[in-house]
Amino acid sequence: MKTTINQKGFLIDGTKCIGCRACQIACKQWNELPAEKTEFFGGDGYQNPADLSSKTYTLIKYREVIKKDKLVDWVFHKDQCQHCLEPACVSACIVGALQKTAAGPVVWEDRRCIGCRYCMLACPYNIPKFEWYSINPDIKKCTLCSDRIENGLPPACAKACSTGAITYGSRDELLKEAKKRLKSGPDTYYQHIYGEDEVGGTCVLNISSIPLEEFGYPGNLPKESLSTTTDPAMKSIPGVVIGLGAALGITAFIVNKHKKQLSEESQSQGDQS
Amino acid sequence: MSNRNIEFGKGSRVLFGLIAIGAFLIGVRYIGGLGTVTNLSDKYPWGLWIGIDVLTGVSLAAGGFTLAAIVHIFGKEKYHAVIRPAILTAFLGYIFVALGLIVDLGRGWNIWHVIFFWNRDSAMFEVGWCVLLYLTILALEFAPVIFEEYGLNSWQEKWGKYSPWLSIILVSWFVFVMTGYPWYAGIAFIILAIFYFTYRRSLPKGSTVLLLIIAGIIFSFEHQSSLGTLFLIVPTKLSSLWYTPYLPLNFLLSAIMVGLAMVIFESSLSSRVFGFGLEKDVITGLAKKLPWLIIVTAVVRLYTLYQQTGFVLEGTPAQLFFLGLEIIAGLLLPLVMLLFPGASDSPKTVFYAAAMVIAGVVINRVSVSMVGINIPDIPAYVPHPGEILITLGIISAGIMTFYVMCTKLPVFEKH
Repeated sequence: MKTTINQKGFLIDGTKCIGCRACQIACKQWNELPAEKTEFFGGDGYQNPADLSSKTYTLIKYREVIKKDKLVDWVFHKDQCQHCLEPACVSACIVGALQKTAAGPVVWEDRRCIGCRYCMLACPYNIPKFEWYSINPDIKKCTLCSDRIENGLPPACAKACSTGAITYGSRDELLKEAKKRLKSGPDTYYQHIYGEDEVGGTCVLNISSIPLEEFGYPGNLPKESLSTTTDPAMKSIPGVVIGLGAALGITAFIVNKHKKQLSEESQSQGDQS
Repeated sequence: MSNRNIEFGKGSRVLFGLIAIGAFLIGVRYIGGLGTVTNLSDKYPWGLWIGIDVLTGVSLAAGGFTLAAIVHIFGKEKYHAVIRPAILTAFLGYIFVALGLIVDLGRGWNIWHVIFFWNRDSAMFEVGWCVLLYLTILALEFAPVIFEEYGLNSWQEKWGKYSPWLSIILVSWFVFVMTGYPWYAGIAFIILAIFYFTYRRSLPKGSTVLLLIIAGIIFSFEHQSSLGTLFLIVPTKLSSLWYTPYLPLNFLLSAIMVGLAMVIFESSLSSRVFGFGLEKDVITGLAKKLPWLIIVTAVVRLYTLYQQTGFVLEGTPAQLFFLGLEIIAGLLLPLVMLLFPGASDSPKTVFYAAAMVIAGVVINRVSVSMVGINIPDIPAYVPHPGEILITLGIISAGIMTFYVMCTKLPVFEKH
């Protein structure tokens, strides 16, 4: 596995979140993202907008915990790019427009992109978004405020959070902190750090009072990076090309040599008769 | 000679209509963005165009390399009569696949970036290079037809001299681009160069065309399988009814099978449209090979399905329906039809069996790219009429070009 010593990330602790959405606003302000026209929708409480989009990089999701027809808890969680240690989108991108930076963020480069949207398909969390009504569409997603990190500033959302639900720091430290919290609060926390092992681990670590699957996160992710699924096929290319080339070349030679002999024989027989 | 007059009948008018509608909608797409004419969304970024225009288009173009292998590598000369139409189909197929792809790309005008920005980890990168290189090879394979028609003898001579070397260089270049190791490319170059000199010394004149054929088959193998590789990265999104680590193999085998089915299907149709009485022997011979290819494809498909699911098939009703169609109507039924004694002598049986094989592969590709993709809590993707009409427009343009080229150029051999 790649070294994570220098990688930055978040510890997102849903139990500390009060659903104020200051992080959502801060994200929009820093990234200069326009507002979205939204509508109140039934279902999951007051979540607004309904989902991430090219105009919304992060979103507080709301879930009501109902037991015996009674609302027993109201849980929030911050949805955003998980900044995988070995991202599927980076491996998938045909022109290398998506890159994993040394500091942790996964960022997109405008200059290279051809708009094939393979990154969107490849991402297990459906994070990269597309500008469907633009003639020169961009891929849009959370950058972990790479531009702020480079200048020694914490990401906008982490700075805005007033309850300590978003902790920014080095991933290794955050992982230790997450384990400590789970241990000290066996009743408060669902005992799983989402992002520790998922698809090879992510820079964003998530803990909550309920499983993250209830917020729509996939529960069936492998522990290895998704790029390992395409590796064998990609590595086989030189072997297949050279082996196939040799096999075809030899077959063609034998077959055509045989035919040449046949035609020469029939010719010489024709000459004799 | 072959310069027959082009007759635009009722069918042509329908095709022209569809082309016009498609062109108009493509215009709308470039003014308002992909959202105006598609149902693609952030959850379903790929849809009909990738499923039909690209995946299916490429698989149905497989007749070109399948027949090239039968005729040139395995020396079955009697199928020579159908090789030109098969190569033209592949050539036009790839051109229209590329056109469809450009419409689908958010920034189609940047497609050349593939040549300069390399990401070797990406299956899509392999797909891109295969399209580019195989299109070049197909153009070279088809070029003699044009030289013949316009009497360009000096061109034909140059073609004979340089096309083998070009093939060798393109294959070696591909190996270098995919691996980054010059010595791998060197090995490929040396092996193919050895073949070139051996063929020139000890085989009949003109055998150096074999290098071109070999290069075409290599790129086809790589390209057909790499389209399956594309979907390996979504183990949690693609239903286990289709997902398997052997998806590239499934794609390759079904492509070889459908390549042959396409040649049968098309030859039967073309001989009717162009009024050439194709030797029945040709179609019968091909029809005798088809069951074997179906068996290989079906065995691997069913075995990998068993590996993945243990035959406990779970999915949405639509997924189960598509799987049933693919396996029963696309593989088992045509196999049974062709295995009946004397079946390969009946043009009707052969035609319908080939059509079913083709339909089965179309369903398979549509399933892998659309029907089989599961996104929790989000209603499944259904194509927008705009997507369907643009696809129809592109297919119509392909058919129309094929018709015109077959009329104007010596594609079909004279009898």
